[in-house]
Amino acid sequence: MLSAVTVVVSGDGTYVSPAVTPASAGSYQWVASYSGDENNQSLSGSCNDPTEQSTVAYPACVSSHSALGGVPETVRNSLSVWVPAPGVKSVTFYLDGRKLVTLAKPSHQRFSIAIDARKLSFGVHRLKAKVTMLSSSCAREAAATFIHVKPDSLPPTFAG
Amino acid sequence: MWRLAIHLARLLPVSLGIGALALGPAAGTAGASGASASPASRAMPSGIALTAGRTISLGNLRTNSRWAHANTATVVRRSPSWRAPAVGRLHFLTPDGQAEVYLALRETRVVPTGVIWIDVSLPQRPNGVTGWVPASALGPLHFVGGRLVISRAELRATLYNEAGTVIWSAPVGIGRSSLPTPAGQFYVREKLRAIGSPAYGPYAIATSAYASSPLSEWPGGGIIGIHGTNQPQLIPGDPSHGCVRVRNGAITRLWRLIALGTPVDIT
Repeated sequence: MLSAVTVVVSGDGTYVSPAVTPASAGSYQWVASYSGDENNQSLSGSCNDPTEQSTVAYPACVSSHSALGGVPETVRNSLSVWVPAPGVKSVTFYLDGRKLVTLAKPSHQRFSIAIDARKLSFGVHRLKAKVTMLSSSCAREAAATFIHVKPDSLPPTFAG
Repeated sequence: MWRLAIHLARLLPVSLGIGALALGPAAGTAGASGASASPASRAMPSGIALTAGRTISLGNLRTNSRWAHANTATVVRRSPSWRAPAVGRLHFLTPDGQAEVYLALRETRVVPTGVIWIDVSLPQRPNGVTGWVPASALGPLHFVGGRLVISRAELRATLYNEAGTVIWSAPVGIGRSSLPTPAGQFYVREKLRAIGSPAYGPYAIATSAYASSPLSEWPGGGIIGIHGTNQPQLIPGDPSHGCVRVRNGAITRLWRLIALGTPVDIT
């Protein structure tokens, strides 16, 4: 249950709930229930209102940010990824869901980090940058994946 | 005094076990939660036909071809449909730990979902298997021109560029009669510097082909490679376990000229 409010009622009539602001996107449904009393049974059910079921979308300011640069498809040793600085207040980088660092000062017009891939497992990894803009506190996100591969100087596993 | 309680409940997938909320038909439509099912199978009620639109070739495998790495470890389907039987699965890495390569053969847009599917060649046993994956399961498509032709009858390999001009040719050693080099349409899967293994010479190129019979002693299961040798006197000939052996000077030039995804015709 996201929110519950109790309204005092007196006889038949129309009763209005206070406004509710969901914290996350999704589908929501209003449910009305009547507590009952010594002369009336309790009741719970649909509200029969056109907006009884509502879909809440993400706010427009949480949008994708396409400018995550420097991510190659494959990585052997290391990589340097960046977000262009113009219009950006700060950037938080994540690797496989783990926060790496938050940068509030750009360097050479970029918020950039270097990642030593040799410490990572071989296979696919996901990078994400959460970008806070100067113009608002809204965050934007950019994501990319790369494949960490082994050195290409190993004896191959061929038929021979 | 009467009291009317008003609740705002978030709709969650039924599988989370909150049936007590009596969410009804809308329960399965939660936007933020259930994202595991395939878009097509979730979006389309039963009874609506999904049909593939016009199929477009992504290359002629002679002068222009396209390939991609995997973007997700998606199941590969026999036809462009989430309900089609599986024929394999995309992998991020080859048995040698390099980024796996998939040759993209053709694409189609499924009506009415609009999902684009791509038919890819799979580097797996048996040789020659192809299957469909959503385009989103692959990374960017890369263009590659030309092809490599390996003639078992002539014991010679020839590399053509995208204009159809021969840019490299050399005699080769192929598999002996008991372990023959398989014929078919394959492609370059990885390029390796064969350091520390003199039998492979200085460079090795993996193809998508596999030896006809499983070779359990090789960890990769018998990938057909093109590589150098420490026995150049056996070339041309049929001395190998299925791989294509090339003299070391020739493999060095080929390694520099050939690109990932290049089609390899073994005739």
